[in-house]
Amino acid sequence: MKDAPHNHRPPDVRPEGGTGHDGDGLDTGSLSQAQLIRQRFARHRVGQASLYLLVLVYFVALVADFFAPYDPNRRDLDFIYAPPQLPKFSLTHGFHAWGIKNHIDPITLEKYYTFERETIVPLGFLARGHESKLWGLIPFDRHFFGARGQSDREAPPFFLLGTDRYGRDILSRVIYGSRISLSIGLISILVTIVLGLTIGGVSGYLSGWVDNFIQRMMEIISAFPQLPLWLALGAIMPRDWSGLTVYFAITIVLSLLGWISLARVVRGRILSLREEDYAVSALLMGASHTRIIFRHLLPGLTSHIIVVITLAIPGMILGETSLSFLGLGLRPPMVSWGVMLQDCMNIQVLASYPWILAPAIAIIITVLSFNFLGDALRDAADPYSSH
Amino acid sequence: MKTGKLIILAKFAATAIGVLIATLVWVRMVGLDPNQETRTYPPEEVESVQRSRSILMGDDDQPVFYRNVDYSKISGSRWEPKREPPILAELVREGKLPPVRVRTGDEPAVLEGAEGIGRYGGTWNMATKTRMFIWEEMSRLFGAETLVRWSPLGYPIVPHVARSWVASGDSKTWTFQLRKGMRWSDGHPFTAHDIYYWWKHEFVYGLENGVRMEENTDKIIRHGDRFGRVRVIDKSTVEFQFDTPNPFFLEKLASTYMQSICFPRHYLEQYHPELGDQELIETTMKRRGFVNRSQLYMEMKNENNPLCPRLTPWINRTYKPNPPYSFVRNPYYWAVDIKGNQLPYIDQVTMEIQTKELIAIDTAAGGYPASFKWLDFSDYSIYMKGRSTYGYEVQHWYPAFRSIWTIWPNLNRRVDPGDEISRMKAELLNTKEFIQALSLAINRTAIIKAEFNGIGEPAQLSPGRESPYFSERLHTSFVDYDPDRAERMLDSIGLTNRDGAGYRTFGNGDRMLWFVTVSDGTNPGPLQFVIDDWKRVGIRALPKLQSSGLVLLEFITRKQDFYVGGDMSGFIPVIEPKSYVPVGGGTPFATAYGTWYEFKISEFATSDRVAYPPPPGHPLGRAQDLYDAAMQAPTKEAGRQQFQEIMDIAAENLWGITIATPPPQIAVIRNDFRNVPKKAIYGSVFRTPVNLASETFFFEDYQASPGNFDAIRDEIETVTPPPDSIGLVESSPDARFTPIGRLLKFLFAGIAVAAVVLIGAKHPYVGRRLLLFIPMLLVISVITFVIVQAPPGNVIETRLMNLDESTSPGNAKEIEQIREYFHLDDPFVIQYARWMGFYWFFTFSEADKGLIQGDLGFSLDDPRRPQPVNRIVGDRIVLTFLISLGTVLFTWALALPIGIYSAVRQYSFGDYTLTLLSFIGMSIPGFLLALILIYWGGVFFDVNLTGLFSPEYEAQPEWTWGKVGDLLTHIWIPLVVLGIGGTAGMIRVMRGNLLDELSKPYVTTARAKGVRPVKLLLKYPVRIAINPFVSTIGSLFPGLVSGGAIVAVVLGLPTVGPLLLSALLAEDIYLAGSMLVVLSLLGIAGTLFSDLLLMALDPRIRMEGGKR
Repeated sequence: MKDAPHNHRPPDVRPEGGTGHDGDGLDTGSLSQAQLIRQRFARHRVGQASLYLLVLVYFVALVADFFAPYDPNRRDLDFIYAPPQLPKFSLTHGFHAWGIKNHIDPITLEKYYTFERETIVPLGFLARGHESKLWGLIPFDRHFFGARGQSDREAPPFFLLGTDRYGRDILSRVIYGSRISLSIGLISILVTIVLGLTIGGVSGYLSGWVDNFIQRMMEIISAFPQLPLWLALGAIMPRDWSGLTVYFAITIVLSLLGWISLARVVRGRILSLREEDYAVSALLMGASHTRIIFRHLLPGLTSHIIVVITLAIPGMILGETSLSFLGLGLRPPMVSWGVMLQDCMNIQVLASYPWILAPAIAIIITVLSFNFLGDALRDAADPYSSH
Repeated sequence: MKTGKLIILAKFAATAIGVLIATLVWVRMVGLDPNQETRTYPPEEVESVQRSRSILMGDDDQPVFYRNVDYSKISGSRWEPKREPPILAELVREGKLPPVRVRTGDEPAVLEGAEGIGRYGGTWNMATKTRMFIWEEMSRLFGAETLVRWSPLGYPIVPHVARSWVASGDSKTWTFQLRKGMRWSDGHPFTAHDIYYWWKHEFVYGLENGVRMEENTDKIIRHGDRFGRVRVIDKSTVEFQFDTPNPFFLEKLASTYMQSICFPRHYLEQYHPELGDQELIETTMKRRGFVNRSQLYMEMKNENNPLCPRLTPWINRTYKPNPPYSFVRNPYYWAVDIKGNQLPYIDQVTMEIQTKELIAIDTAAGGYPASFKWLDFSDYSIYMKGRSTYGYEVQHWYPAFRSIWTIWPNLNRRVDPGDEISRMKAELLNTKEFIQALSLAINRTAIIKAEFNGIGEPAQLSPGRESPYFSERLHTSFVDYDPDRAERMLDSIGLTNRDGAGYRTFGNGDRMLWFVTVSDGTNPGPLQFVIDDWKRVGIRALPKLQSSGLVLLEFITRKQDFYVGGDMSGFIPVIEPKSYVPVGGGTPFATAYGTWYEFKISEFATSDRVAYPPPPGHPLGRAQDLYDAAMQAPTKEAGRQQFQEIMDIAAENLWGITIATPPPQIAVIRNDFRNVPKKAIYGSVFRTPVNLASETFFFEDYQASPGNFDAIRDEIETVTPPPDSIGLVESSPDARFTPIGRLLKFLFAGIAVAAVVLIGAKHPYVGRRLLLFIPMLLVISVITFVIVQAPPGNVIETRLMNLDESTSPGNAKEIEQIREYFHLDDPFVIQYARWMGFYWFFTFSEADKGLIQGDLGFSLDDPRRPQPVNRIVGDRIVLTFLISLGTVLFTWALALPIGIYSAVRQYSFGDYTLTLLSFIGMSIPGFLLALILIYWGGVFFDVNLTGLFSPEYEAQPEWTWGKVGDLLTHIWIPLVVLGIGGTAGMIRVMRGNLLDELSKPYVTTARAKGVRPVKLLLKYPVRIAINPFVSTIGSLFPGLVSGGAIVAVVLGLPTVGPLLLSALLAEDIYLAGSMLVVLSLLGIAGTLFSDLLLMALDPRIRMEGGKR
């Protein structure tokens, strides 16, 4: 879906150098292509904002243990479907929140909550909380923001984004889940890049019957319906694989079809770049094929590669979401956004406890950012075009 | 560049703060309303609901619907049969049916519903989850062919097919009076000879000849180690004779796991292997494709055969391969109400197959008149909240099953030679301390709180406090939460070694991993708690969620470690004691012991691997003996005391691990659906809803569509029998091939021909593309075949294993036949070739047709009845194609103008908004969007938007404007959901291309020369910009087809996607494989079509011979 159209022509590449101006009057004079791209990108406000957002999100995912106030699988059965609590600030209490009390509706047995204004839950930064290990190695117990406990007892609970059906903190789950969901995208992309670059490069560079054959194969494989293929592969994964194995299996599954669009673009670019004067002269001067590829052709590819993969990552994230949502991907106790979405399947639950949609919002924002970023990069990647 | 870095840092901070603010806004929006107060209700209301919820069986409400009347005084009595439903009245007027008095006979059952006299008319629509058990479920729903039946709260047992009975003093002889003038659904008289026929020619014949002619009726006639005898005293009197006292005979007759003992002799006789018309049997066998006579006979009896006469209130008149199924009123039903109206009141019952989630959603929205079977107590609040909005009541029924969630260890776990792990597992499973420890490790209170809404007390499985069989000792055995004691017990049986992760290992150090099997009809919620609890005491376990078909197969082949099920026995365990003592193959914890017990007195040879007795001295052996004694005790009370000891043994040994007492059974009954008792006992042993007198249910004010009346009338009048081929061996030519099959056939042939023609006609590009189709198909099918065959132990293999070991001797032949038919012994490549249908090109024989010829193979979802995939798929392919096509058109129609607008008004406010919206559209996962839309539909428009039709219109055959309108209200959701992502992308493409064009010199020239803008726009730039636009559409189709799969699953659409998913989960390999190939083909077809379109539009491609 994020493919460039079939007969997308590579943008007009004029030789670099010269003292020209581009369509917006910027001095394209003596800047390198990379710098030009960056400059154009900088003008794309939304794209910039998306970039910062994504870096922030990935950072939080990286240091998830620190940012998440609770263990993602911690159940608090006294606070099932607890609503989000708004932190307040006052001069007397500092950061705090009102306590909440759970009730059961005597007629419908529905759980609901009311504020208990007498109970003050003290909050603060770097609050002491549950024991955790950063990346499984460094033990620590202070978290970014949370309920302050006394030295002898645990703090009353504070759920910024509410809890789910087992009383698990949604904020913590979203943060830990981001680790899985986001990293799966990255790792799949790595596999995709490797496959796409190699195969596309070989195809474009060697041309002839190799190129033809590979092209036909790519056409055939791309005819496979993506989601059903993923479903099928998800369904055949043995039940007793450990969480980690499943994780890696999924990354491979997701990249199985994605490399094709990258390979196509790479091939197209290499085909055209190969004929460029500088490449031909390098060949005539006796440069080895490797040198030509890495030193001369690859840089011309980079911008395209970046664009393609930036637009492909959301597809991977959505793919993992879909698989886990259907129960064919990751399984509890692993937490990912897709796994969290399983709880949203129940419409009545959605209606009564809308805060469980938090992972959906996270997904939308992440994917949106990637799309904006990719779009901005695509616009910027062609510094010599007129718009 | 320090300032540069500072600026970047500042930007990060700004972003972070932005995210924070957004989060706080979200929290404020969806968080708790600060003014939320504790809810208060008038105390009487609260009290009444709580009473209704907690007191399910009182002394004051014992509804009994059966009325004892004096049949000698029928003429002139109030209950004399005189009135009938309009549909039947019409048929009588036309001379097609005899008058009502003749039809019901002179001694009809006289019933009075819970609320009195009802009204005629209406269609009761129902849904069930399992495809597999649907026919058994239907027979349970209506199973009116028992001699006696239960009342709503259990006792008293009332007459049903039999008018009255007398037992001899020693309970050895039971004599039943049947009803004079009672008829089968085809008008033929019903007499004692029909019952005798069952006994003599089905049961005894089967015993003597080693064939299976009936199902499970041996439980009625078997008594102790002998079988009873049936004697015909006269046309309406039948006698059962037993060698030992049989005090519980009535209970057995009334309970449901027994199939009927009343069979239409006049119909079935002709198919009887010995008595029947041999020529007819031969011909039918050939035409229908059966290989042995008993198989044919059983199919003739099967509920899916509309030609077989029945005694039930609603009957199946129309054979259909796929749901929804329809059952119309039986014109010869032998019951009336107290005013002489012939029953049932309701004209028609329809049955649809749905996922459990959708059944819950439809129930909550009042989509079913009466829904109870698939409702989870965890959805209780939802139903309670919807009562006034959707117009229904929530009844609380007493659950006869005393547990909805029990972990059954498999004492007879299969041990494969050479598989040390299986041996060690079997050993542990048979060590009582192991099971007891596992039970003690579970924190039941937490599970009750989290999963059962706090209703219920921790308990082991026992018949319930209200039951005369209650055992306090069993109820509280090993129910405490005592993980320390559990750990000590586990240590004491030798599981002291731990592995690297802290879990206990087997004695010899091997990794120990237990699987707990959960079928897709069971709530997997508590399992996670159990697994965590077991982890704390060092036991590693994983859940294994499987489709019901697979679960059954693995159960029969004893491959499971633990299996989560419910209570088998219920309120009166003497009838069905399998939760406590193994007396049949269905015993959840010891199927082999049970199978041995079941067959020890028959002459069926059972394989030692699959049926063996408990070892000497084993408590279950003692339990079996006690059971024998209890069933043959001189009085019921004496029997009950014997049974107590069985409960004590169960308390000692713990055959199952249960969490809690069950919550009330919820029944959601719509306000317009009347005569449903408010208090009832719900259980399959009691045959709910038969024990509720479902034939007295009626609709307050049913608005039927005019076509409905005629449709039902026609159905009653004419029987539509099954077509000629069911069964494994297809002999008749086009029988399997629905229009879809033909379509596929022509598709391939057409492409081949077209390719040749076009190549010759100098369009090498297109010709090449078409020819590429073939290798594409090959590669795709190979990959699919490999994927689908990959999981070990697929359905066919397991089915074979099951057959191989099951008791019926006729199976050896069936196994042979299956092996041969599916070519299981052939190498992989040959199997693939056969599936594809390559052999057809050589032999041109029907049997060798495969995928290429349009034959999609067989579905083994119900392993006992393979269904041709073509029939199951049926309309789905067309529907998938239509929805995809519709979405493409929708996308195009939307994206084109919006893209043009965006390009022309670049950077305007409209452009930015549209860009933002389209990006958001691209970013939301399709199924989520679907959910949100359904939610809005439900909340703001008060409409339930799942599926393609509302439940009422689903049943309606003809296309009224109402039905069309209903379709339109439902179909926009899939179109929008599927279309949005594509539309967004297309808008961007269109915009980009058009912008490219608009900046070209010729456009400036044209404007300068004064060409009008719109004309200019449309004539040149758009036409050129459309070029890549069209080609992108080509890639849209496969995306739609595949992405549509998930959305369809969520929305419950009858397309290919959900079928593929369920086939994958059920490991139904042919169905899954065929669906994958079909989806790929649809995708390719779309791409091909777009390429052709592109060629037509862009002369450059035509000229250059497609060098693009």
